[in-house]
Amino acid sequence: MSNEMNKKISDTFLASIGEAHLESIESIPENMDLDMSDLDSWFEDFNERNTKEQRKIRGKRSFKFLLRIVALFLISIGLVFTGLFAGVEAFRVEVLNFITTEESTHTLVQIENLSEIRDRGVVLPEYFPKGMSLFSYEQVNRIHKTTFKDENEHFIYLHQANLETQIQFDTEKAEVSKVLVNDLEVSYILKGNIYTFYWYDNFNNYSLVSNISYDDLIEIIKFMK
Amino acid sequence: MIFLTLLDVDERTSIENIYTSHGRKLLSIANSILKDHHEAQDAVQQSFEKLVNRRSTIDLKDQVRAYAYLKVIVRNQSIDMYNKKKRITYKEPEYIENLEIIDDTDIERDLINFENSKELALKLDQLNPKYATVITLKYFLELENTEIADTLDCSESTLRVILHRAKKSLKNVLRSEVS
Repeated sequence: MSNEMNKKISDTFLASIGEAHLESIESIPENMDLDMSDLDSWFEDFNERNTKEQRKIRGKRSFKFLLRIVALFLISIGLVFTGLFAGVEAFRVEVLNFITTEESTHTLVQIENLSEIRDRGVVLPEYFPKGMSLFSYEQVNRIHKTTFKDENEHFIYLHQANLETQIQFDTEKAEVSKVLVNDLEVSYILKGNIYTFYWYDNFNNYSLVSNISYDDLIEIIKFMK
Repeated sequence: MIFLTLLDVDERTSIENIYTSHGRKLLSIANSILKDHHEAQDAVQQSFEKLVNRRSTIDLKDQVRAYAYLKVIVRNQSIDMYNKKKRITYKEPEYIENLEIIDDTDIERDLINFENSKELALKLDQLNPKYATVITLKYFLELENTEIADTLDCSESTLRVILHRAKKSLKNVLRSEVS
C-alpha cells in the first residue's frame, strides 16, 4: 500500500475512533433530576447581553449613517452657497470677509476690481463701508480720480497726484483741522456735511472728498495701501 | 460572569437551539464526571464560552458539528476540573510504556482485523481521556492542531506529544488485542 493510501486508511480509522468516542459520551443518560434553573438564567443573561450588544451596534450604525447624512447636507449647502456667489473670490469677499472683518465700530467690505487701478500706481483703501462700490476711474494728466458710491447717495472722491501738482481747496466758511492717521498728518476741511481730507507722502499728495461719517473716513484712510 | 463575543442573529439562534435541545444532556455529561451540580454548570458554561469564542473554527450554524464539539469539550472540561480538584495526574500504564513493538508493522494492518472501534475508543479513553479527545477533535471533527491546542488550552508542541502518545497507545492496545 502506498503511503498516501496508508494515511487515508489510518485517518479514517482514527475518525471512527473519534466517532465511537462521541457515541460513548452521547450514551451517558440524561439526568432528569438535575436542576437547570441556574444554567437557564445564565443562558438568558447571555442572550440578553448579546441582544444589547446587537442593539448598541445597530445604534452606532444608525448614528454613523445620520452623521453621513448631516455631512452630505452641509457639503450640499456649501456647494449651493459657492454657486450662488459665483466664484471663490466672490465667496471669500462676500462671506468670509463679512465674518472675519467684523469690527466693533465698522463693518468693512473689500471692493473688487481695484487691482487694475492699483496696477497703475494708484493708492486705494483696502476697505470701504458696506454698500460702496467702484463708480468711476479716470486719469487726467498726472491726476488719478477714483469715485465710489453707494445706493444711499454717499460718495467718496479720491484724488492722487504727484507732489508737483498744485491743488486748491475752498476753505471759506469751513472748519479746518488736522488729525494723525498712521503717523501721517492729515488735514481736513468740513464744509456743510462734506469732508475734504488731504495729505501727502514722499511721492504723491492725496485728497479724499466724501459725505460719509468722519469715523468711516478715518478708517478708510487708515487702510490706504 | 462570562464574556461572550458578539454573535450575529443566526449564530445566536443556533446556540439557543443547541442549548434548548442538548443543555440537559451536556449538564448530565459534566455531572456524571464531577458529581457536583454547580461545578457541572460551570463546566457547561465554560464550554459554551469556548464554542462561541472559537466559532471561526466551528460553524455555529452547523448544529450537529457544534454539538459534537461541545460534547467533547464539556467532557474534557469536566475531567480537567475533576483532576484539578483531586490533584490527579495521568501516568501511562506500565504495560503501555514498556510494551516493546516487535516489528514495524503499520497500524493499518492491525486495524483491518479490529472492527470494534467503540471498544477501542473506550480503552483509549481509559488510558488517558485526553487521547480520545485529541483523536476526536483531530480526525473526526478535523480541526487543525492550532485550533485543538487553543481548545485544550495547551501549546501546539504539547498537543503533538499528546497526539503521538495517543497513537502509540492505540497501536499498543491494538497489538495486544490482536495477539
